[in-house]
Amino acid sequence: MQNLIDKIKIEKLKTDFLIIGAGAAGCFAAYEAKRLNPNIDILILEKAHIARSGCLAAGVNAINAYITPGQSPESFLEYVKKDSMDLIREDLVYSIAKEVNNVVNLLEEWGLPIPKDENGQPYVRGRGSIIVQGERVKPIIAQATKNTKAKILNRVVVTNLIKNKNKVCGAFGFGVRDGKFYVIQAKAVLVATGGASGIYKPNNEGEAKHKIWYSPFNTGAGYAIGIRAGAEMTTFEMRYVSMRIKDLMAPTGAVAQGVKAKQVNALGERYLEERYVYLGGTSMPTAMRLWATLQENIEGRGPCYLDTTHLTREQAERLQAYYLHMTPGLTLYWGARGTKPDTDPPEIVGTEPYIVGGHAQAGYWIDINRMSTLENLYAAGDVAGGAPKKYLSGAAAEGMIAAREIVSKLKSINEEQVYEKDIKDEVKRVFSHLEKKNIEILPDELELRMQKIMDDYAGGISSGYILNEQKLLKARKYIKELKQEANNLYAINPHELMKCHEVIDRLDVASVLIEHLLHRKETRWPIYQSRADYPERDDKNWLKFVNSVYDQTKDEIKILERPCKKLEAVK
Amino acid sequence: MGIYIDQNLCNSCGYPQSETPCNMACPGDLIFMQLNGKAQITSNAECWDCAACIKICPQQAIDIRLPFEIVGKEGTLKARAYREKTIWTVKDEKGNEQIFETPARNDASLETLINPEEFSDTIDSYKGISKSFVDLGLDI
Ligand SMILES: Cc1cc2nc3c(=O)[nH]c(=O)nc-3n(C[C@H](O)[C@H](O)[C@H](O)COP(=O)(O)OP(=O)(O)OC[C@H]3O[C@@H](n4cnc5c(N)ncnc54)[C@H](O)[C@@H]3O)c2cc1C
Ligand code: SF4
Ligand code: SF4
Repeated sequence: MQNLIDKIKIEKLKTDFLIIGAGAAGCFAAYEAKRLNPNIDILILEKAHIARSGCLAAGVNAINAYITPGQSPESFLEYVKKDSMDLIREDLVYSIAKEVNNVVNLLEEWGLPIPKDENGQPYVRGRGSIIVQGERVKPIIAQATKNTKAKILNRVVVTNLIKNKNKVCGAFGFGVRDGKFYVIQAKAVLVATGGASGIYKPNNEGEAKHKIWYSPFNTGAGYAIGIRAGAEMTTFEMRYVSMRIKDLMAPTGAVAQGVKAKQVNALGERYLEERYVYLGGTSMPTAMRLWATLQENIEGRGPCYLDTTHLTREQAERLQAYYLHMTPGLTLYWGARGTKPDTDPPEIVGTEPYIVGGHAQAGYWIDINRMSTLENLYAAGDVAGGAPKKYLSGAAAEGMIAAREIVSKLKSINEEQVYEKDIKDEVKRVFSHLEKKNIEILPDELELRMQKIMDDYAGGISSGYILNEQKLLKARKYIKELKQEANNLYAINPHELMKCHEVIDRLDVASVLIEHLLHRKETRWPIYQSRADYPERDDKNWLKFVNSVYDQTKDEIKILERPCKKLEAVK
Repeated sequence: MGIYIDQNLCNSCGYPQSETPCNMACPGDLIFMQLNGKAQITSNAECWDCAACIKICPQQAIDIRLPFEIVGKEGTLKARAYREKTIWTVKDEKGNEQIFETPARNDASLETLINPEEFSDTIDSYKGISKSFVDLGLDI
């Protein structure tokens, strides 16, 4: 079958600025770079189609990082810090805070409907959040990106970065529609592929397995290519487990903040205020609100709800319609059951853990300009670390910040050579799964095995999110074995080939995650990172970052610790 | 389930001469064109219910159906996108319909937006809406 690999068509392209992933961060980076210098050649590689790809495919019904009247970048920083148990990159969060309103102004200019009150102000939905009617936010961003004349290649899945010594000088990928292998040579590269879902066993199974909150098509490629290239990663151990509406796993903000529904248990008690005041009551950190909810269930007072029974019928219908902007399945859910939120209040549960730097803070270790530890490689959005709670507007802000730095530096960057041997090796790595093998494992089978291992031994839903050393060591062993099995993955077409690489990427993310979870010997973020063997938060020893670098030649993950600095110290 | 593509309503959208809207839109690469020229979904279990395909299909051949195991009822969601709004129809298993409308853009910058040639997200010619709308109010 040597044949098949020899027959692969290779397409070589050159650009100044390569953007991987046409999501919130990638599109805003292209926009900003072209605004600053229209002569720069920009190429965006997108595994789906820019019009409806990534997290924003269905739309959004709020902008969740915004400086509302009376708030300031400083107060935003304080809020994020408190919500993240004091361990954040203050410099990164602050730089995002200064940029988010600018992003929203652009979105509105491009056509995003933002309802206003009689004073012309957007409706504040909660701390740092305003209401938008964003069913079409992605086509709107896509159109603005196209207008800049940046080149866009849709349906190209990026599989690895190209390196020359410690410098990144492009990326490899393959076309899911044309079956070609792409070699893109670039002076600067921005990774903006979003976070990773599908590492843990999800809430639903079988036909409903993709009724998950985070995009099932963001599979951690951006983390994986950085890990394999030896970029430093931070805080993977701060997983994101979100409180979501049961079954459809829809976000809760519209209910909790929008119509001010209180969290109640099966007895109708407002448990946050009645039982957990010592944790801050209704203003306790996000992770603790989920912890309290799970606690109610453990102690036999479940299920818990967001109480929408105070709504009038008309308000209930509006709430039902409001979800069409983001999770249309939930609107249908009520419709098919013949109920409405006023009589059928949404039940709340925890999701499986995700690795996502835009909500928690797993991702590339970057400097203030969003450059990674590898020269000419940048990261922005959900794939970038150190700055939780950035959401759509913060991801876009990071894309713009990275673009500014890249535009100013481009002139001084030399073109680096791409070695033929590297091309040959990657073609083989990518396409060998199309060849018949003695043992053939399908990507779905491997995915299920990976999700089961992570669920059982690395704190998934079935183990109550609880971690301990012995289990984590088992997870490490089994995931290592599974990485070997991944050589036997078999694909019958380019779509399946994409799925092979999605699970290969997620295995690399899982390996790094396990090392981070093993290293942090305290419990900093309950549920996200609950170590049963080190149940207390320990600021004396652990108010610092856990980082890692993977050495591909030795197949070794090295753990590093980095200090947590105050903003004043960084300024 | 995820989506259902009505094989009688699907008119192939010019395939194989051009890419079809549904096939183009799906963020998970789940929709493919069969030899008979009609669109089909690869795997319903992988559908995320994002509704990109149902809004863009000019024939309204596609609807969303939730997995029975999590709803316990049948029901369908259809949608049609126009330049200024999207109209949605929810139907329960007895056939009762509920119609919703969501606004799609700011009036201020109507012209600079999505090119109608590129997106049938923006088809303007819908007729025959008889049910009352649930208007999106501003107090949520
Ligand atoms: C259901 C849901 C609802 C949300 N609602 C809101 C909300 O109301 N308000 C808010 O502010 N935020 C919301 N968010 C968060 C927000 O959508 C994300 O934080 C934001 O989109 C992150 O931007 P990003 O560019 O990092 O990732 P994305 O926007 O997801 O973009 C990543 C892109 O990379 C592409 N990609 C992935 N892998 C590859 C590869 N190997 N090769 C090439 N391309 C690749 C993907 O297809 C995608 O287009 C929501 C998120 C979800 C999941
Ligand atoms: S968009 Fe609709 S009509 Fe066109 S090919 Fe797809 S299903 Fe068929
Ligand atoms: S609803 Fe979304 S994920 Fe499902 S088939 Fe349609 S476009 Fe794809």
